[in-house]
Amino acid sequence: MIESILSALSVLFTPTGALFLMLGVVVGLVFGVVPGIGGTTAIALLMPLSFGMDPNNAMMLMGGVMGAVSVGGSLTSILINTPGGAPNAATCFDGYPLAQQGKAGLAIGAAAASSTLGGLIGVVVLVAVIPVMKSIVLLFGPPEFFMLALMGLAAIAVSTGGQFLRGLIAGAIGLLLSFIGYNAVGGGVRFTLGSDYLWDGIPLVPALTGMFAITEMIALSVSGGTISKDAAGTRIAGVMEGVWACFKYWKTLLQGSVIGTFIGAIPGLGGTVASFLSYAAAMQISKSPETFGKGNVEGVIGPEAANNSKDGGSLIPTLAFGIPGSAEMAVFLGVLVLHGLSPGPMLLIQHEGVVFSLIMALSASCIIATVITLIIARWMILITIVDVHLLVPAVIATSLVGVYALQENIGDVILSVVFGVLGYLMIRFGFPRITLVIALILGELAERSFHQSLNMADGDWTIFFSRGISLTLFVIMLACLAYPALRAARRNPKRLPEAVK
Amino acid sequence: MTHASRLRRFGPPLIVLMIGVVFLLWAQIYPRNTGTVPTLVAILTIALGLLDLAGQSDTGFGRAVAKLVGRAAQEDEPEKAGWRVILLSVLWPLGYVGATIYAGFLLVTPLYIFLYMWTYGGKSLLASAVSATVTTVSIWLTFEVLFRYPLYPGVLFGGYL
Repeated sequence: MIESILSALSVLFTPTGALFLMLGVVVGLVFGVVPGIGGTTAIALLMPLSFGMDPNNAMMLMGGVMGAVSVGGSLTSILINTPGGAPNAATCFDGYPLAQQGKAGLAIGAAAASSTLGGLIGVVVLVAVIPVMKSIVLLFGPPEFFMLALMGLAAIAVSTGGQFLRGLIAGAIGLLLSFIGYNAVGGGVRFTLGSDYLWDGIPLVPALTGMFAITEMIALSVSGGTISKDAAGTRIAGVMEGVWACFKYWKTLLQGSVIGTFIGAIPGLGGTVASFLSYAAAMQISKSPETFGKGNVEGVIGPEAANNSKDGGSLIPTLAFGIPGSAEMAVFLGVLVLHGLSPGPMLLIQHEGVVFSLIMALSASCIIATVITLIIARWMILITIVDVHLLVPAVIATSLVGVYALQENIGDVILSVVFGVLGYLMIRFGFPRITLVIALILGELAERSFHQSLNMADGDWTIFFSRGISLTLFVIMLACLAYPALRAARRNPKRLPEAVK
Repeated sequence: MTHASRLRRFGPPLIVLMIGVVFLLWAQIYPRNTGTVPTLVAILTIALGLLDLAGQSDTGFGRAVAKLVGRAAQEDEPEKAGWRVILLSVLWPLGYVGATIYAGFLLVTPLYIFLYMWTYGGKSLLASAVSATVTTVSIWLTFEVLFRYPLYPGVLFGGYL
C-alpha cells in the first residue's frame, strides 16, 4: 500500500499529473458555479476527452472535478441563494441569510474549509474503511432508513422555530409531491394528471432551482435594494473567520463528514440526501438551533462537509463492489471501464496504484479548490452589494437556461418557475420551504423503505420498533416533535395547562 | 378582524385541507401497494391542516395550539410592498418562460432583461441594453459554445413542448 501511495504521489507531482489535476479543479469549479449542471455532467463531458490518457492522469482529471464541483456550487448558494447543484441546496438555508447580513465572507470561508476538511475526512475513511464497510452498511436496513427519513423531516420542522406546525405541513405536502410519478413498489404511475413529463416524478434540480433561485429572485424583485443589507460589513467580513469557525464547530464538521461518507457509501442516496441530513443533524447538536435558517454558520459547515465527504464514501461501493453510490459515480464507473479497469474487489489488487492516484487527486483537489475559492471570495462577495434589479433578470435567465440544459426539456423550465412561484407564496404565508424540499428528496426513500420493511416482516409494523437502531431513531424523532411543545411549556408554565384545558 | 386579514389567516390552512382531501381521494383509485403511503400522508396533511385552522382562531383552544406549535407570523402584518409590485415580480419570470416557449432563449432573454431593467428596475436605456447583451452573450458562450448544449429555439423555430 505504501508503495502505491508513493507512486500516486509521484504522479501528482509530475507536470502532466499536476496539469490534469488543475484542469479538473477549474472545470469542476466552473460546473459547480453554473446552476443546474454539476459533477455528473462535468465527468460525462470529460469522459471522452480522457480516452487515450494514461489511467493515472485520467484519475487526476476526474478526482479534480469531483473535489471542486461542490465547492463551486456553494459559492452561488451563499451569494445569490442559487445552488450550483442539488447537494448545495442545503447550504442556501444559512449561507444566504449570512450573506444578507453582510457576512458572506464568513459563510464562504466556512464552506470552503469545511468542504476541504470534509473531503479529506471522506478520503481517509475511504482508505481505512474499505475492508469493514460492507458490514457497517448492512446494519442499516429498510426500517432504519424509513426512520432516518422521518427523523430528518421532524428535525428540520423543529428548526423552523415558531413555524413548527407549518413546517410539518410543508413536509407533508413535500411528501405528497414526491409520490408523483412512477412508483417502484407498486409498479404504476400516480398523480401525473396524464402528463408524460411527470412519469419520472418531480425532477429535483428544476424544483430546487425554482424553490431557491427563482423564489429568491422574486422576493428580491419585490424588496429592491441589495442582497446584503450591510454593505460595510460585506467588505470587511473575514473569510478566515469562516475557516476558523470549522475548527470551533469541529463536532458539526466531523458529524457532517461522517454522515456524508456513510450516506455516500449507500447506493442510490447521494450528496443531496447527505447534505440535508447533515443539516438536520447539525441543528440537533447546535447550542442555538433556533438560529438555523437565519444565518448560523453551523448550518453551512454541516452540509458542506457532508457534500464533499460523500465523494470518498461513494467511491467505496463504486470501487470495491462496482455499485455506483450516485449518478456521478455511475458516470465515473464508465470512466473506469473506458480505461480498462473493472470495478470490484479485484480492482484494489490489480490496480492499486490507479486507485491511490484517484484518492490523491481527490484529496489535492479539495485543497486546491478551496485555496482558489478563498482567493476569489473577496471579489465574489461584491455581488451582494449590487442593485438587485441588475441581478434578478440575469440570474433568472441563467438559472432557467441551466435547468433546460440538464435534460434539454422545456418542461423542466416550466416546472422550475412553478416551484419558484410556489416558494414565494410559501414565504408570504409563513410556510418554511426547507421542509417541503427535504420531504421531496426523502419521500421516495421513505416510501420504498416503508414497503420493504413491511415485506420483510410479513406486514408486521412492529419491525420499526423492534430493531435497536430503528428504535433509537424513532425516539429521537419523538423528541424532535415534542421539543416545541416542551419549550412552550417551559416558557409559560402557569398559563399553558389552562389554555390547553 | 378585516375580511382581508381573515382571508390571510384562514386561507392557507383551507388550501392545505383541500390539497390533503384531493390527494386522499385520488390515492383511493390506486392499488393497495401504490396508494397506502399517499393515503397515510394525505390523512396526516388533513390533520395538520385542521390543527392549523384551529390555531388561527381566537378561541382558547386556538390560542393553545398556536402556543404549542406556532402560528405563522404573517398575520395582520402591514403590507410592505404593494400588491402591484408583488404581482409584477411574479409575472416577469412567468412572462419570460411563456415567451421563451414560443420564441426561444436567444431571442427572448435579451428582450426580457432589457425590458425588466428599463421599465421595472428603473435603469437607464444604456445600462439595460449593455446588461441584456452581456448576459445573453455569456449564456450563449457558456452553454452553446463551451458546453455544446443547444438552447431551446422556441415552438416558432422548431422547438417542441
